[in-house]
Formats: sequence, structure tokens, C-alpha cells
Amino acid sequence: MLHLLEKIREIFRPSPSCQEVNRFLAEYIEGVLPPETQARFKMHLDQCSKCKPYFEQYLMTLEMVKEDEEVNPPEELLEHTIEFLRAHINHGERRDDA
Amino acid sequence: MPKLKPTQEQAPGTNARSARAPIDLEALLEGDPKAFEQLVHQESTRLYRVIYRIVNDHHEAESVLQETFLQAYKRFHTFRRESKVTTWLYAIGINLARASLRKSRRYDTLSDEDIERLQPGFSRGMHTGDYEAWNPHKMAERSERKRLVHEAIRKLPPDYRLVVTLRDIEELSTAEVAHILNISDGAVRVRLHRARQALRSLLDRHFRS
Repeated sequence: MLHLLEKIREIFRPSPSCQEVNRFLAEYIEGVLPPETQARFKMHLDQCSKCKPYFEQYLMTLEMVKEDEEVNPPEELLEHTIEFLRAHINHGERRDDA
Repeated sequence: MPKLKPTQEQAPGTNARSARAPIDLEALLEGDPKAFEQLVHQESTRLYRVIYRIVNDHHEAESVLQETFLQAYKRFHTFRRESKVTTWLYAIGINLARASLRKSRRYDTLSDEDIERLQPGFSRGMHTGDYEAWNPHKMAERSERKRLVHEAIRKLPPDYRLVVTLRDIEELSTAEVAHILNISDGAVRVRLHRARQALRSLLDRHFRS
């Protein structure tokens, strides 16, 4: 009976607005919203003529950001870092608690 | 005193010997040179990338990275074990990088007002903007697309660029980013969302039909 009441309540619950959905897009993508909210957001994003293309662009942006690899460390980075630390730790600076 | 040896047979980032091998935390905190060297091998490349994205200068990024490891070594006794040691290390690196940026005044980024203008508009809860699928032909040229994305990320204000770097590029968890930046998980998601929306808007002018 309770289950049925919950179902009926769900049917008559108003759909979230574009603004509400937009506000929690990061949470939606991370999957941290309650399952029921997650499902309602998905339905809105699938059907809303404004939110659907916006969300697609948002996801494309995210994908393109993830493939940003323009930062290439210098080849000697590790060698220089070890040299620096060896010079400062072995011959000079001591640990604060030493 | 530790005897740190440069390892020249492997390129930075490959970390063949120590890649993802668990670090002996107790040994590290006691100043064991092998454990410390393992940490340096394991984290140099990624930490360098994060620092570089803040200071935007290779020479300065290398200098800040070196100082980060030195500071960490000298301050291991202050590590409270409330997070992973790498999270603690990143917090040191990011603080040093921010200090370096403030000192150098190399600001060539969007303002907070610009970020606000790049957010979508709403009226009575509905989007006010019109959005169409991006033009696949304009997105097809890989090198140009990457250049545009890289430039858009570079334009973000430092705090926004940092959260995108840590969460979306380096793929740290929200909780780790929150710990490093000393803010709540919710604040990380809010800042990340605003940064992503600003990036979407910056790219839109290049990719729209």
C-alpha cells in the first residue's frame, strides 16, 4: 500500500525546472544524487529541448578537457629534482625535527 | 642523511620501478631515503603538471616542484594522517604554486565577473539561451580543437583552473580535491560546475554551426 502511494505521489510530482537540473549537473554526473532525483533529472535531460543540447555540449566540454595533455614536463625533470634534493638534504638543510 | 640517487635510465613519468607500488608510509615519515625517492619518482610528473597549470611557466613549475618535495621532507613530522600522504603533498605544492603566482603577478585570466557572464541564463526556471548541437566539422580538426580547449582552460581564473585540473584532468576524487583545497565537497562541485559552464561557453563560439 505504501509502495503504491509512493508511486502515485511520484506521478503527480512536478518535473524539476531547467534551473534546478542545471544547478546540480556536477552531482548528477558524479551520481551522488538520490536515485529518485537522478531518475527525474535524467528524464528532464532526455526530453527538454533546451537542456538536452546544453547537456550534450557540457559533456563534450568535459571530454575535451579530459584529453588536454598540453603540459609536457621537461625530460630532465626527475633528474633535476633528485639532484636538487640531494644537494639540499644531504649537504645542507636538515629536517625541521632533526 | 639520505643518499638520493638520480635515476637516469627511465624517462620522467614512466616510473617503471616504483609506478603505483605502495609507499611504506612509516619509513617515509621516518625519513627513509628509499621511501622518499619512491615518492619523488611516483609523483613528480603529475604534481609538476598541476603546478604548471597554476604558475604557467615551465622553469617556475620545476622550481616549485623541487621546493615542494623539500618542504614535504622537512615537514613529514607534521603529517597528521587525516588524508593520503600524496593529498598532503599536493596541498603543499599548490600552496607554493599559488604563492609563486601572486608574487609574479602573471595574471592574464578571466575575472570572476567574466565567469559569471559565461554562466547560462534562466527565466522562471527555464533556459533563456538557445542551444544547438555543435558543428562536427568544426570539431573534427584534432590539433585545432586541442589548442582551443587548452587556451580556454588557460583563461580560467586560477582557482577555477585548479579545480578543473585536479578533478577533470588528473581525475582525483571530489573528496581528495576538497581536502587539498580545504573546502567542502559541495564547494568543489559548485566551482567545478561553474568552470565547466564557462569552458562550454568559451568553446561554443568556436564550435557552433
